[in-house]
Amino acid sequence: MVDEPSRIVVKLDDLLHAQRMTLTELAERVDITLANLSILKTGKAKAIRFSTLEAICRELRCQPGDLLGYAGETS
Amino acid sequence: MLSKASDPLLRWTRLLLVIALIIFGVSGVAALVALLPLWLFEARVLVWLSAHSDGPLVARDALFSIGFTLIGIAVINGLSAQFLRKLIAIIDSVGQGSPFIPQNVDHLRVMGWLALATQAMGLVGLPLGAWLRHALANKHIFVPFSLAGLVTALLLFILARVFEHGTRLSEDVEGTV
Repeated sequence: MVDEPSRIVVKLDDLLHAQRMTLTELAERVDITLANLSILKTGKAKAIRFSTLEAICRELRCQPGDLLGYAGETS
Repeated sequence: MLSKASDPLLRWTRLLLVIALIIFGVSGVAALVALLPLWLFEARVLVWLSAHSDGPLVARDALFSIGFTLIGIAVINGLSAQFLRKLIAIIDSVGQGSPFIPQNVDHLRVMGWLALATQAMGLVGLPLGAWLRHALANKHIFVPFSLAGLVTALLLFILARVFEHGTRLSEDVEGTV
């Protein structure tokens, strides 16, 4: 079974750039492994926990909508 | 919680299954080897069978039946050995801490088909055994009939579905950050 690529876009890279923060630094602040954050950043994650979302939003001072976007057609 | 690698249940079950696998293998080969004297000493076997049955015609049929029975035993033992190999592979994956993998779904499905095939072989052996019992007037020839194989096959197919679902859930958990 081949999974279709997700249309959810993770804009972690942009947010990190805006906050002048590295992925390693964010990983330490939110207490998530660098490997897991890297999976999220590259769009390979299948799901995100509310606790992870909350921690990232807290550290990057953003809203969940700033982190996630939808790349498909909207009706 | 017990460490999976040192879980005595897994360790002992694996050991018992390996012993059973060896027994099935050896007895399967023995059944095939037993065909050889039937073929080499056919005349002498026929004389003996004639003396213990209703005559030469019945003796010849009995000889063929014994040959088919031995081949059947070898085939059933081969199927059972394959079944055990799959089960050992599943036990190994449980020991490694990752039972919900696509390979185990395939193992369980194949085990289901093997159980069905073994049951089918048993059904073929049933009339053959009954005939031999009658022809040789031998009460020791006994072919047990049981639907346990069919129930086992159904159970394995259901279990394969459960593992398929478990594998999907496991992949979801692995992809969750």
